Amino acid sequence: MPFQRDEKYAAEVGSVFGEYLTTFVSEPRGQVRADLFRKERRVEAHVSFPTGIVASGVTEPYVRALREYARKEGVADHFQLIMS
Amino acid sequence: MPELQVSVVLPYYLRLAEGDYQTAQVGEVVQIVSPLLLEGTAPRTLVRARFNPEDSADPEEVQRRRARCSEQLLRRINRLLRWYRSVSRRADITELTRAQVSPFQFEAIGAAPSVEEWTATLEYGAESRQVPGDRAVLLEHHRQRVQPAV
Repeated sequence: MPFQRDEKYAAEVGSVFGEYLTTFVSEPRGQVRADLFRKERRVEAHVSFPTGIVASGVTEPYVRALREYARKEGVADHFQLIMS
Repeated sequence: MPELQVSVVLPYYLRLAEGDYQTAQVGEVVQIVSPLLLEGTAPRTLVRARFNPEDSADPEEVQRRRARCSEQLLRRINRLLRWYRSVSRRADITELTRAQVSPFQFEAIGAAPSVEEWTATLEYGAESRQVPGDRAVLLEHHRQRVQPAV
């Protein structure tokens, strides 16, 4: 299940970045983690990578999955990736 | 893919003439653009560079190549800042992170089949914005999930 709510994280993050929606973890090795938040009409995916991996070197797919999520939620036009 | 122009606005105003500055070997340049003079706003220097990434229809690959362009631009900018700090003797000029120059604006020079894929703004968040609280614990948790397959 690449998308799953992380309840521990949800409790910790509160509403700092907006309303926490869910977390995406890429498969099979979890090279990419994206925490999704809703801020009014906008949905932001805060994308992070473990130490030693950068956005230009990731080999596991995540862009399509996140966009598909945004499309299904009806926020494709208000969806933004924020990289770390 | 036609040329891709990537631009950022620095948090500094550099007293440099508009034009191209070579930052390393031949071909590695950044272009300094005159700042917009807006009343009540401190001027900030706009820097841009052009890249020629191979085109791709795969959004994952496009994202990787756009990230690579932004990393290369930042590397050039930091070389320029090291030089500028030295010649200007301005100790307040320090190297910058991706988050400090974010967002990266992309513009395709010439037509391309997948132009929208390439020209979306690329934004980097500050480290502290990504995971509040005990980030070290969370990252360690994440790191353990990403052990290389044996």
